Amino acid sequence: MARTDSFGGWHRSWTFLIVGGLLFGLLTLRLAYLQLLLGSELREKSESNRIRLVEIVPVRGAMYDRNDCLLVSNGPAYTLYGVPAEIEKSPLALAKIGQILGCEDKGDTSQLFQSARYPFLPQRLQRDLSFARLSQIEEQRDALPGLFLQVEPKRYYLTSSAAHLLGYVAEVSPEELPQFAGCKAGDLVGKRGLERAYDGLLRGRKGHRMVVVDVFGQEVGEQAGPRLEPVPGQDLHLTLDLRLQMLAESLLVGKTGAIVAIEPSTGEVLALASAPTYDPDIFAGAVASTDWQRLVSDTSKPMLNRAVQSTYPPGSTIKMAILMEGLESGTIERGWSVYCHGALRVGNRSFSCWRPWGHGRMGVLDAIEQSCDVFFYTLGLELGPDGIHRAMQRFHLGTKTGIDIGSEAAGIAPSVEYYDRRYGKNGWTRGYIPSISIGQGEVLVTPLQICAYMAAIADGKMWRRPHLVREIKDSKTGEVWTPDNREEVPIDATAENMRLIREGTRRVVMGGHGTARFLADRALPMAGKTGTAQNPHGEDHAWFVGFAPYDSPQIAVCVLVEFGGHGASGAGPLAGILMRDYVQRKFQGPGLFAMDVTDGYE
Amino acid sequence: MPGKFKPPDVAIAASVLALVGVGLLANYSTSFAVAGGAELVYLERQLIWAIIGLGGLVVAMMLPTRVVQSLAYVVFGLSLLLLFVVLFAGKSGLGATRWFAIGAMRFQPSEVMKMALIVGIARLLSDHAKNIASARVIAGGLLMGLVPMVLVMAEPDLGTAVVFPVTAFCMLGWAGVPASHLLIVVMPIIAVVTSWSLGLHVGLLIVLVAILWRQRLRLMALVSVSGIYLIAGAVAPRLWMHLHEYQRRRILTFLNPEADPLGSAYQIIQSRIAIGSGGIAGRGFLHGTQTQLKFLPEQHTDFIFSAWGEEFGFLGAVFLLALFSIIIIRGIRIASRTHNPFSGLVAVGIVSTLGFQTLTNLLMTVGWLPVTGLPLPFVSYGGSSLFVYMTMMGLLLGITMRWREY
Repeated sequence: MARTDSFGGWHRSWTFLIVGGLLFGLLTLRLAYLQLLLGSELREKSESNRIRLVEIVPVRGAMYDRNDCLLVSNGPAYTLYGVPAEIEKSPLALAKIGQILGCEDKGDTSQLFQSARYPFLPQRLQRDLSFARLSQIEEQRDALPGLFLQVEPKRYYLTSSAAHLLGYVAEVSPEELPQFAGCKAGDLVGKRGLERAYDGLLRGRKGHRMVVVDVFGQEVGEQAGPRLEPVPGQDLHLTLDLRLQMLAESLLVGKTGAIVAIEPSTGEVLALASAPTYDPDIFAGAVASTDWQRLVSDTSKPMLNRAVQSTYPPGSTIKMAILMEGLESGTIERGWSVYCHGALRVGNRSFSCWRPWGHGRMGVLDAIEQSCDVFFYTLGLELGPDGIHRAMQRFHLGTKTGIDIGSEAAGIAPSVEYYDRRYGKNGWTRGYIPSISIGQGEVLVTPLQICAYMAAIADGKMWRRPHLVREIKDSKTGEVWTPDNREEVPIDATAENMRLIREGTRRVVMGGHGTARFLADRALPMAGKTGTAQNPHGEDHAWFVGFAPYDSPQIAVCVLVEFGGHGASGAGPLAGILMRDYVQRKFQGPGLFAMDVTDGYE
Repeated sequence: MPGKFKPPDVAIAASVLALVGVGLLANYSTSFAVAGGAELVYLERQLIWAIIGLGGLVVAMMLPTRVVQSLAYVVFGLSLLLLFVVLFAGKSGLGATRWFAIGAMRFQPSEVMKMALIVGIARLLSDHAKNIASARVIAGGLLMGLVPMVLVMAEPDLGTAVVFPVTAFCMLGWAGVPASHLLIVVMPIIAVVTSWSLGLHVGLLIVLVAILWRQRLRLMALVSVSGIYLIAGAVAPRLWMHLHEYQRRRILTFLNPEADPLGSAYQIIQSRIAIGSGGIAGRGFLHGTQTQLKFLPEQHTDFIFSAWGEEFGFLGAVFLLALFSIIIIRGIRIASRTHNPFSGLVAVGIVSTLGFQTLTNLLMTVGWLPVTGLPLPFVSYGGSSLFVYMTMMGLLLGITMRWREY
């Protein structure tokens, strides 16, 4: 049977059979290893391959003003996702995407994708697509593999007011990530203002669902596991009065400065404006880098919240605090007086009064009414730096108020210790004291501090920590609670001295010689204090701080206008308008805004 | 005349039909993955080709051996011409020019070449059976394998190209070319493979020369063989630079999978997961998640075995291996038993082509060979391949029908 000629011998067929059998045998062993030994392990891998945890972004909490007027809400926006591996397969599609999204180098995907580590996972290419881009992508859908759109919530700022106060949201940066629990790269978090301060409450908690996806991350199937519902963020009901806020901002248009309004009986902030300002809506979606660059490089610093983050010398607005310390410490009596010649000599330096020809004899009430500098130079020298420090401390000046908005500046309340530290033990003289006793020199405060101080004088008993959130509402359960953002501190002063100080502020407006007597109004008795802070950079800063009505204060207002000149003319009128509008509205209905606008058409 | 025709080999016929059936099932599954069952794109076309292939099988089976033998060179020459023409007039896809389009059908001349090469070399070697060890016959046989290889590499289709010289080599070996001569033939390949390491390159040369010396090769022959070896080693790195980017990446990925975790290695990883997750009995027809969710790349062509392995498990995979083994074992048996040298060589050629392509594809899907792009015979989607393999099976069955003819 066996043949051994040159064609087809047994030995040759054996060579073929052995080689083939060996390879098929090895293959079978390999299959047994993969399928029988590693079977369950690899099956698990295939399961995790296809079931993806898809985050459900919770709806961020809304914000309302004190009259339940909606300020900040959410709306839908389209986000473009792309699968890098799919897109890179087609150079044409890549160029098209680059063209639509406006990348500088159309062929460069490294610019398009944040991370090249997971080319098979979808990555967010752009949030908040404009309508033009959206339609371009939809039109060319077939030519753009690996791209898909997803609807995601976008922050909507319904008013362009209160930008500094409300803040904005943006993608969390890698450096910030540790500060935001439960967040991962690319999530939106509050970056400034209330959005930042209350981020934990506003953000809510993410949910997730398990979906069956194919290799491109496209959902192809039904729910593959239990769904965890997201917990929506809580709504903030603010103390803010939107109309007053808008009025305050409109008064600051074209100016640089800040306005703060507080309800003295509660410490609730009614308005907190800073100028110049910006439109918070530009941060809501995808921030164009040019917009960002423009804001950051603007020399007028529109991003700065001057009411809270900038410090200024308070000028004469500090005088009530100095007088109070004089009376409370027993340094002077209520009948104490100083004769003003227009200047005071200390050592070899002469300190002049704002009225160069002098005020004549000044009692304690006269000194407030007419803001006599010589009176306060003399008193300040009696008190010394520590007395002035105590004076400021009584009204929480030169320290952070603790307002619930974060990134607050403290300012400076000088003391002996401060001077020793700054100039050395014997490096300073009595000659430094007159300046700080009229709120110049080293003294620095924020407009917010000055407003809270005036609110305390208006109230007469308590200094109250200013706050912006009135209550927090759980939009799901309807449960309402008040946050721990308020504090009342009794003012360390006798009622008699307090009355005297209040009377002084009344005379500033109502007195015959008051520096703000142009605000006098028999229908609405107001009180206040002007301030003109010398500014080494140019024109003086104008201050006015006041409250109204005198007998039952509803509002305390502080106005600061940088380079505004005299407090009486540069800031006083603005404060007058705000106080009148608010009080009128509160007691008599519509204020300036709604006045006869519709009636006129009848 | 009784006994002139025997019924064709039942085991081979049954295995072929079973393999075609497996292929249709697998293509139904991958079609399902693509269109969710709405359009059975791959299945429909594959079914049409299977019917045409069945016709080819019957015709090839009925052809008298003499006719095949006399037409062998003509078929080979025509196929070579087609391979040449397709480079200029063919349709492109995936960066390669491989097809002629006839209506909706695509036709791949490199598949026909597989069969043409087998009959061509069988004719050459059976015609020169007396001086089989002569350099001219060996060179002629090798050249018949190398020319189509070069043409197909130019398409480029690296995987298919390698099939031709391997088939030629196996047939030469079967025809009785001495081992030393075959070793000389393989030496340039060894030279290329070892060209990355000078020490290994030269060391192996010394070993090979020593073996050939013991086989009493003449000095001049030894010198020229060594020269070719060294030249091949020097030229290889330059040719390397000539390869397509994706080809180079595939080879490099195979040599070092860590280097490219998301290119070719991704395919191998997903294929491994697909096969492994099948377990012993599989995940069930149309229930393989790797396949149905398209995690498995090239699942209807190169990686169709992974889809099969996922859905039908170890038992299904071994069943598939058994079908191929039956054809190969029976084919070798036919080759060693036939009285006609031409028929024997045709049978060996068919077995070699089928065996090599099957093993290359399967070893690739389990991660033991680089991703070369060779489809699995009978099973992978591809009409030309199915048609040609079925026709070749017709030739093989024809031999079993008339092995007492002479």
